[in-house]
Amino acid sequence: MNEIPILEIKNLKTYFYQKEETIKAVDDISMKAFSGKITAIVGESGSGKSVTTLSILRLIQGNGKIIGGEILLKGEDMLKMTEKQLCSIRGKDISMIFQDPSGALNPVIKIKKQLIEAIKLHNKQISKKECIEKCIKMIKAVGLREPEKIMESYPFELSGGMCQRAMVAMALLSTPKVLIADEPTTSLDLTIQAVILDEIYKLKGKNMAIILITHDLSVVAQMADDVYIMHNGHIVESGTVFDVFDVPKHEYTKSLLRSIS
Amino acid sequence: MKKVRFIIKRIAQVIPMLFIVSVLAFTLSNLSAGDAAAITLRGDGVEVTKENLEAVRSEFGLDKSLPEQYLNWLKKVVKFDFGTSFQTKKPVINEIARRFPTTLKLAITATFFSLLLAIPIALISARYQNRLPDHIFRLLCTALATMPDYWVGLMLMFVFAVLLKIFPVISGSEMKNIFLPAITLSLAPMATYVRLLRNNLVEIKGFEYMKAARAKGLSETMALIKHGLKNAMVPCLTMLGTNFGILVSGSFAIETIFSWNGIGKFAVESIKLKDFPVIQCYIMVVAFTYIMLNLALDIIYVFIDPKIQLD
Amino acid sequence: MKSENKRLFKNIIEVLMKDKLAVAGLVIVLVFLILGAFASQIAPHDPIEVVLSRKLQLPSLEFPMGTDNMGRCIFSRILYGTRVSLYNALVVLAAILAVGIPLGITAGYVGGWVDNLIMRLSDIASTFPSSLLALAIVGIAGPSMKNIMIVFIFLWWAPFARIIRGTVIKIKEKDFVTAAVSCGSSRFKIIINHIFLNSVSPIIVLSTLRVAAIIMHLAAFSFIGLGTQPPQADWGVMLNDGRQFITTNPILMLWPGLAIMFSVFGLNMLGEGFNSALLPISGEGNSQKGVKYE
Repeated sequence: MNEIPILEIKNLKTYFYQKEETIKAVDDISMKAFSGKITAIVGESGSGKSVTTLSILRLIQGNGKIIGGEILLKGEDMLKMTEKQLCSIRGKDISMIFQDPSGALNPVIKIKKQLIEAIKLHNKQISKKECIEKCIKMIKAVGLREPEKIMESYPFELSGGMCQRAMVAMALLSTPKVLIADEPTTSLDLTIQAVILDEIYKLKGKNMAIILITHDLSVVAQMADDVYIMHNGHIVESGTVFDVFDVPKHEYTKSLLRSIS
Repeated sequence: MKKVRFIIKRIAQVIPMLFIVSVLAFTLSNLSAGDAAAITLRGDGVEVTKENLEAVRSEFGLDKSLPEQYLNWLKKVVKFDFGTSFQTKKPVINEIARRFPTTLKLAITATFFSLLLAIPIALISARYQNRLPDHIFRLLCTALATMPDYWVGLMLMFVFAVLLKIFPVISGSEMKNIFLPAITLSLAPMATYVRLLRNNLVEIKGFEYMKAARAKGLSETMALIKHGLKNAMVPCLTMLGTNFGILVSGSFAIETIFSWNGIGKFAVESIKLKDFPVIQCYIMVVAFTYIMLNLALDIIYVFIDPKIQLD
Repeated sequence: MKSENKRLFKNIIEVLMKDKLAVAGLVIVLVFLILGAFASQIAPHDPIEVVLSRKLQLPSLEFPMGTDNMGRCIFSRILYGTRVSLYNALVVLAAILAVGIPLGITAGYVGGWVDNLIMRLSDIASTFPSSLLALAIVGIAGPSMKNIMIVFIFLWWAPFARIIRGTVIKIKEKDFVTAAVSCGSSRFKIIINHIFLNSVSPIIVLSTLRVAAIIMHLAAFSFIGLGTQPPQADWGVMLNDGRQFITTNPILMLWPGLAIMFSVFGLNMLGEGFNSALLPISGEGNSQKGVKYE
């Protein structure tokens, strides 16, 4: 592990302030993600894994706040960037796939417009024709048939699996260096889950760093290179997938592993 | 099936309203016919005696039973025959039709202004939710929503026409002077749109697709404009329709203040002059337009928004 | 029951006092009520005495708000106008309550076709454009404030009936009612008792907001000359009188305008304050919109 990580998190703390109590959703975690590798963050719901991903993109809203640490993208600290700089990173260098594909696509805008937006935001010069060609190519690449028809549809006209592929296509349009997939298959049918995971696995070969958030250890076992186990806002155990699965050190990891085998 | 039942129910609701309106208008026309009989006699130079009056009344069909008279009246109304105005001696329907575009112009401009102001204000309020701009606009909108429009109109007139002399005191229905009356009429609806739009936008802000839009690289403001606004506007539609319906009936006070010769001002003047045929026609035309507009909107809304709850 | 009422009342006052705008509203409303009630004691002059030699004077010690085009003391006229405007609005409110509450109780308690009929009537009343009906009635019966007031009574009882009906239906099936009935009390009596406790909050909120709306609407009709007829003067009439002097003596129209604005604003603030103090979660009192998808 002496390569340079594309994304490194150091001592990140994200707290939520409610009336009288402070919820330490993410409390002092550090992790690294490498190009061409899948890094999994595992934990049950409420363990802080989603907050971690939102913190990476600095999309924490409301009464939540990142109160300390560093998020280094190619050695540059994202926590010190202006909003404008961040906007040029979001969707360009770091893309995200959300848990609920039908919720993450705007219900009143056609797929085509949402895809084109993803390109145009980071490439203003590109012509409309080129844009559409790129979209169609990408839709085919994520395994959807009849791309022209998909482009002209509204999200509610597509199935959950189709929406998620469209989401993946949208995330990949700008060829990001880091892809964050937050429980990308949780809300899908079992048969489609495997297919979507397969699409994500293929991206590894394109030298992309993938951060996979999941609560499903069997998914991790199949796909991940490095694993971080999160519990109550802390990382309780980390290492390569073989280290963690074969010789778990922490009690919590052991109990997680017992529950699947 | 639910939709069909809702529509039938809504139409069933409209019928008694139209009936009430028509009875009111009929009563007015009946009053006017009584007066008209005397006027006709005087006009012919005949002495107004009981016998003479009876003769003219039977000529007008006033000696028939009330339901019969009502049906006769209704037959005429369907043919847009509302009689002649006492003031202008011209067919009433022409008089109303001539003034209607003036009111319509004002209604459209006012609606346009109210949206033009409401959308950016709602966006700013939602963008800076619970921060200073939001608080300021909320206070402003509460004030505007509670201020009587005729008072706002007078104050605007005083400031812009009397003090600054930007506009003339008498607008005289000219398009170049539409600004003051239109702004006056736009403010209260604007305040209600802002409140609704802002709350919708704030709710939408927390939706998954807004997070996704931000993750794509859209700034908070652009995400709200491009992904929030359209969805937030849908629930405003009924309100917009109802307000437009009210505006189209002609605002009595505002048209009077700005000497804007629309149907509202005409109706008020007609009442003072006891010009019953005009009032009767105004009521029928405006009520019909208003009721049908609302009915149409409710029906359209059922089809636009699949989330609408019908039970 | 009595101590419960007392506690409820105390709570309302406490919450209301924390809301600065509501307190301001309350003060404004109280000031207007006192001015209206003691108009004849406070007023320095006869409000309708015409003395042309002193017309259009600026405010002075003798005439705190100046005099109008007929030399009448504006301050005294405003005081009497306050009395007329508030009195009319409260009469309308009382009548609306007197119509709406019994109809609501009947609809909720009897149910069946009676309920259906009353609710359909309330649908019509709440969607009927009020200005149109007002115009028709004034057209038939001649311009007068009484006619205008009748129109608002005819149309605005509906939301009150709806609130009461909802409460009655909610309470009717409650266990404690059945329990009390089995102990020998009259079901109707129990329900009446509980209606008070359960619907007093939304009724107070809605009443406050409605009084504001009534004042505004009545003044509007007086303003266009279809309401109160001279020589009697309410705020609307005075505003219309003052309007003719907008270029020469704008101060004439300032006073009645401010009176309307402040009273309406005060009542609205108080109503909003009641709303957040009494109905913290649901916004029942705010259902101004007539059309309901039932």
